Amino acid sequence: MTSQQYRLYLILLVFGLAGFVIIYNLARIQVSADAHALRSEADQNYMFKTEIIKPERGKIYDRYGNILAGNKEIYEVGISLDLKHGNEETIARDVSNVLGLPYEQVLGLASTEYNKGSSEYIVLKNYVEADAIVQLNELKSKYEQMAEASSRQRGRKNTEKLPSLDGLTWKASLKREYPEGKLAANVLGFYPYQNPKDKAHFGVEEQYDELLTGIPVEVRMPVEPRKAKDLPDIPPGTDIILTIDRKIQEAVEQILDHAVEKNLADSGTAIVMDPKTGEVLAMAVTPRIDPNEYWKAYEVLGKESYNRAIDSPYEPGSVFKVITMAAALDSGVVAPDTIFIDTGVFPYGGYDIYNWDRGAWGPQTMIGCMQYSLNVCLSWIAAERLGAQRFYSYLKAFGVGHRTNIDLAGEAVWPLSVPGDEYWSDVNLVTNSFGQGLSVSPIFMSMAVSAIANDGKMMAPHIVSRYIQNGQVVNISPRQIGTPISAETARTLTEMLAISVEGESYQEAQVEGYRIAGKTGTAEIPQQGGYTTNLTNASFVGWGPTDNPRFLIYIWIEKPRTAPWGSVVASPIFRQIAEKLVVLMDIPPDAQRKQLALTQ
Amino acid sequence: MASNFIQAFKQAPWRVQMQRIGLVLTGLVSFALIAGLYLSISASTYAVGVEVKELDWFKEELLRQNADLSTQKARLLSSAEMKKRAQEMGFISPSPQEFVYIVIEGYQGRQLEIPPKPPKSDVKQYLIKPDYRQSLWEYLFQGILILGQNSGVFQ
Repeated sequence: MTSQQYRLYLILLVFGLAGFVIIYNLARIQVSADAHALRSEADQNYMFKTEIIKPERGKIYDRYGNILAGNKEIYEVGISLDLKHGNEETIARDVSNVLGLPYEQVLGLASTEYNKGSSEYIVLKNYVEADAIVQLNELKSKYEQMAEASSRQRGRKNTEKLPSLDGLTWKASLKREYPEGKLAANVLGFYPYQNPKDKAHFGVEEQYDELLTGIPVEVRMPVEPRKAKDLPDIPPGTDIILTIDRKIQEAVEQILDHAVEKNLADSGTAIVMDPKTGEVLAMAVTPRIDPNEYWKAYEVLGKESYNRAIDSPYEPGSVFKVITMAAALDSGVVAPDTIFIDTGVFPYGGYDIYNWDRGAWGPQTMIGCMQYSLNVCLSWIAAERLGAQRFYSYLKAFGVGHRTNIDLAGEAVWPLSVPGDEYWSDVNLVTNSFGQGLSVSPIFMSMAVSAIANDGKMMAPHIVSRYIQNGQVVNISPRQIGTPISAETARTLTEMLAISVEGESYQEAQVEGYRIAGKTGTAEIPQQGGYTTNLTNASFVGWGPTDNPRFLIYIWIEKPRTAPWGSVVASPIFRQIAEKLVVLMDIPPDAQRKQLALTQ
Repeated sequence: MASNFIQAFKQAPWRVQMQRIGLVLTGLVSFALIAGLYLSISASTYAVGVEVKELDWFKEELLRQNADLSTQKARLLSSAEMKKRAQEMGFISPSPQEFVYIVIEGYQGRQLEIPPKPPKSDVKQYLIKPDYRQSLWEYLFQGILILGQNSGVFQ
């Protein structure tokens, strides 16, 4: 072997050994436990990105498919500090022009130094409308075109500084939007989109918050495109369809707003219900807020309730006589033609009960007692005909003192004092008979009276007619929650109250062409040490057409200042609403309807 | 005798060298082919992965725009807006006395409407083609299988 060959073999050996060591180490690193741990850590921390995908919040529709609560695209505008390059002044100028932010403030924020980990991105403004983003996008494109044109020009000085919006970014998301504004705001509640961690408040939004929100899904997506995988199919939140009819709701709100203003009242409440199904067709309150500006709720409502129809039990006064009379007729202790001689006073439990006018109305049938709303007569029925046990068992059957369990958040209830309770005394029996000494909400009264309008069957009031979940429509069936009185009693009482409405004192409630049953209510307002003398709660409950009731209307006007009486304040509101309803619900006048029935 | 026989059939040295070079080159070409194929498939997979991500973003954007447009439409058709437009067009609200009921044969009145519902997703649908979800081995194996079936070898 020559020395040349020897050197050649030596070099080969050295390089061979070096190669072997490298390959050996490569293999060793690949299979070592440390390498495995490192790969796992890298996979965990750098190869995947975990995102929580929130489904679109479910929409709320009225019964005819009109959107009452939807979602709107809005943007968060910010600056990615690592992408800006001395263009802070352009950003500040354009952002302050388009978004209306102070120039100095934007310039200050835009001039923040980039610092990885601590100062990478700055939010300039949130909830920016799409129009503003279009403007910013146009500016950005314009500057990019200018930069492109400039780079194409030969001989241009590189030192010239061109405007640029590099670094200015925007990110889209959805916010809750109520396209009808104030319409049915008390029914809908609101979702505080500026504070999404907070839950929805009031109404359908709170009651069905979980269904509307849907199920957010945590997705672990690989960063490496090669490992891209399908995004899971995330169903949107459940859509909810209400029983509310937008047209009826609008008409009722308009009439109520006008009545509250005209009567200088504190507030107004109106409910329109289908007595056969318990479906609430309209539920209006005045005042109410625009849920798009939910933060003004306190300013508009103060400490008052959000939805008086369900969360404000009050002493209803004479409208409650309907329930007392129903109990008396059903138990057979009186008949429509039973005569009561009204002497103008009924002493009971150490107190004297008087009529609303402190007058004596002489001999009256039960129809007269209801027509003239005689407290003395109803006290006599409760105390001497029904008795406490039977009276309260009927109130229990009607559900007085219990929630109606309407599907709206925030229903309030006032417990009913019954014999044996600490706060019950003998006089409660007679005062309760004409709606004093107990508190019920308008929705409760609507539900209870629906039993009289619906052949004794009391239907659960509800506001949701169906919902759409995972591509399936789920219908909510009407639910009967009791039969406090017989069908015969219900029809008899309806006839009595229809005769009542035909009388002179109910002229304001009469609807031309339609037979209506109804009852007024005027209640003094309890306060410390007794009742107010000059302010009242004026109410009216009525339903029609009497032979086939399609609607039931309940009105409550709180503290009207023009007149204290339900017959003066609440009756005209009932008539105005009923006149709208017969048109919107396609109910022909009685005569025409009967003629049609004969010809068909 | 034996050595003569071996010598008689022994290949010329240049032929042995050519064989060796040929073998090495065949190995190299094979390696280059596989590497090229691997690179080509990897590049396609990356490109499709990026496209998938972009499509996901686009889908999200479309869903957001859908939601926004339906709300915009609802605002344009809201009670207040419709009333305003009706008034601008000269319509007035009739009084109850002005209504006349006419019987129209077959008219059912306003019907309840169910808003469009999202499709139910029972079946798992893959957005990415199977080609891009397979390993190189699965891809080659399936390719050979399809080629075989098409040429009638595996019938």
